[in-house]
Amino acid sequence: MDFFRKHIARKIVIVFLLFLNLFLQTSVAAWFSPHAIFPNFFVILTSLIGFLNGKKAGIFTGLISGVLIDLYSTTPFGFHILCLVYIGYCSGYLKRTFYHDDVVLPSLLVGACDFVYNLVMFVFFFLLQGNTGFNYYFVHTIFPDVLMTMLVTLLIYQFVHKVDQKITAYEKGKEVERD
Amino acid sequence: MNNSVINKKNKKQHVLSKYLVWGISVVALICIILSFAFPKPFNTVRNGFHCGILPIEKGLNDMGQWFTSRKNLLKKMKKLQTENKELKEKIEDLTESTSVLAQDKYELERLRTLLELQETYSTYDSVGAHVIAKSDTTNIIYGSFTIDKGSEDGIEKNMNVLANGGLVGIVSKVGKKYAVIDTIIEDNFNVSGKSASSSDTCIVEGDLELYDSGLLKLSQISKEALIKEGDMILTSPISDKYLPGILIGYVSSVTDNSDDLTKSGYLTPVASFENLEEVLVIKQLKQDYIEE
Repeated sequence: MDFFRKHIARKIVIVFLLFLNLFLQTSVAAWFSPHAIFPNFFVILTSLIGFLNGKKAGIFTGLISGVLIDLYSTTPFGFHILCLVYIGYCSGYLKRTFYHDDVVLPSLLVGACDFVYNLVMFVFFFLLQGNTGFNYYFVHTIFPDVLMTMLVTLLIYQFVHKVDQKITAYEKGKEVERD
Repeated sequence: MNNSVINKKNKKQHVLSKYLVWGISVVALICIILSFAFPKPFNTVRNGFHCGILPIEKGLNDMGQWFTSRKNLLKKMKKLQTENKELKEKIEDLTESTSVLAQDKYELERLRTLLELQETYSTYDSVGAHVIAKSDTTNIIYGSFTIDKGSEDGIEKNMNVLANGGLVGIVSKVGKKYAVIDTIIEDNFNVSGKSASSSDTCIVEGDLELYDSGLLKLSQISKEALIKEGDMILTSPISDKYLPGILIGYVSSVTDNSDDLTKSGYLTPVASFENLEEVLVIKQLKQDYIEE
């Protein structure tokens, strides 16, 4: 039971959130026009959990996100794992220098991560297939995507932070009682 | 003393996550290479995954349809009210003017050609399917969708997909209970077409920059071609994937190119991509059609 508290509980919550994400990003996104810009919650979660809990949690979230996307989509298996694990890892680097009450910094960093992710996607799925209309993609897809993702981060950061605090309290719960 | 212990622990964590990243990267790279070399086992796993999440996707799709139907109902009611007013005015106009008869005649002709088209469609065996999700989680890949029918329902790769009586796209990937369709609005997506009235050929291209205005690109129209505004564009018999005679859309404008050899223009697709819900997959493949 102690092991569950310390090591498993957080992971279960993360996996659950990511599954929720997958349906949000695919089924719910299909309710809207194909040109509606949808925030990338996978990047948001991976990056935020990296910030809040450090590299290992970031890597874990990135890995599960990547596996889910790779299982779902038709792109070569492993591509998204690679991208998202690095996003989680790099976000984890900023853990110590990061004040948890600040909302602007995390959304800026999520924006940066999303930009890099989109850029990599563009290079591999458009540039290498002979499409070079970067300017248009930048203005009409990548830029609004990054803005939307940052905006949503501003909105849901407090929620993720609260959930993180709750889990942390739960993890430490038994130890405090013993002390 | 305590500090140094924490430092040591941090350092250990640091090194551990570094190894973790390296390990995952190597495995992921191997997976990427393997999925290129041996796609079959990966597809089996993906199939299983899709089968697992299909019920949830279907439920969410029903929910979405309920929302859009409510929205459409409200829209329709407003539209009907204004339409009603307009129609009443029109009735007065109609009774006065006989020129309308000529218009009716034109419409009759148009509907006749449409009817003929429909008859050609109905000779093909087809299956209806629901669009249940987008096929990718990012905005950058925007025009492909997942439908809820797969190889179990007789769907195969390269089958043509229709909606609202017009071409939507083509089946690009088939799973056991799902399939992915690529749509003609996708960037760099090409279909060869021909004009219904003059039989001149052209290429219909998807273009991200244009679709925001609801249009597709028409290119490689020869200078002598008689294609003009309002012409119906159908899929051409020379295409190797598309069955002939499927309506794609109507020409919205044609202009001469600067090279003075070809013309190009824009096309308004018949199928509505803003809210794709139900699509029709034609089970006849072009290869078999040629062989027959």
